[in-house]
Amino acid sequence: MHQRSVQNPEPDWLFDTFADGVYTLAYRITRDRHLAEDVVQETFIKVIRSLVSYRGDGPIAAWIYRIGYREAVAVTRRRREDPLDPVAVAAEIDRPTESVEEQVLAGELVARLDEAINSLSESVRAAFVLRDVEGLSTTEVAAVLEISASAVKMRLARARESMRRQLEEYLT
Amino acid sequence: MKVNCDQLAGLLPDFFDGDLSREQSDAAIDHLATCASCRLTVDELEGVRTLASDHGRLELPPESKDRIRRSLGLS
Repeated sequence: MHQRSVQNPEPDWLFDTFADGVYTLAYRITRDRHLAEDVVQETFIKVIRSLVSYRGDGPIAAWIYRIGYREAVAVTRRRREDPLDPVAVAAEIDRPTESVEEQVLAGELVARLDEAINSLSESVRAAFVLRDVEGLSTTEVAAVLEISASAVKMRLARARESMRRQLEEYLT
Repeated sequence: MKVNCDQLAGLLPDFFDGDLSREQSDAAIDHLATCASCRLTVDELEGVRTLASDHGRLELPPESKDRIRRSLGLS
């Protein structure tokens, strides 16, 4: 799905190629659209600043998603230490279909899928989103999360089984 | 090599990644040919992966994308 490695990538190309993916990962981790947008911005600030140190010798998707993942986790931790207005947070989490895009897609299936993804623990959710939503390889997911490939596979097995049970009625 | 239902469940992550050895893959396929319950599980797990890739992805709202682009100094 993604370019495995790229020589001298242009910032514009990087943003066009990975912004939605980083946003998806960030939203799935933070469960907050505004925070997810902040994560995208901070991620690409870091990516563009660090481009000189990227030598094109590794999977570029893993490099960018790793920066985005760390940013999303940090933002989520900070929010836990300094919680937002609980009513506002609940509204954000309970109504993830407010954007124009999701109003079009809105339906029971998408809502149930969101609910099922949100029910996964953060570490399991991250592996599932990177592998099954974003389409990274298991090796790339391991690089993003800085864990072994076998640990990724264990998290994926847990995620898929949980999702299967929750979405059973839509799968047959 | 033969596998039972529990052993097949343990092989599934590698099965979906195409990382099984030839022997393991043949054993998994043989088991699935005779076990309707495991076949259903595998079909449903494939369904989860399809749902996730078809509907799990989000897009940055265009106005947010433009705002972030400008803040990054991109064209």
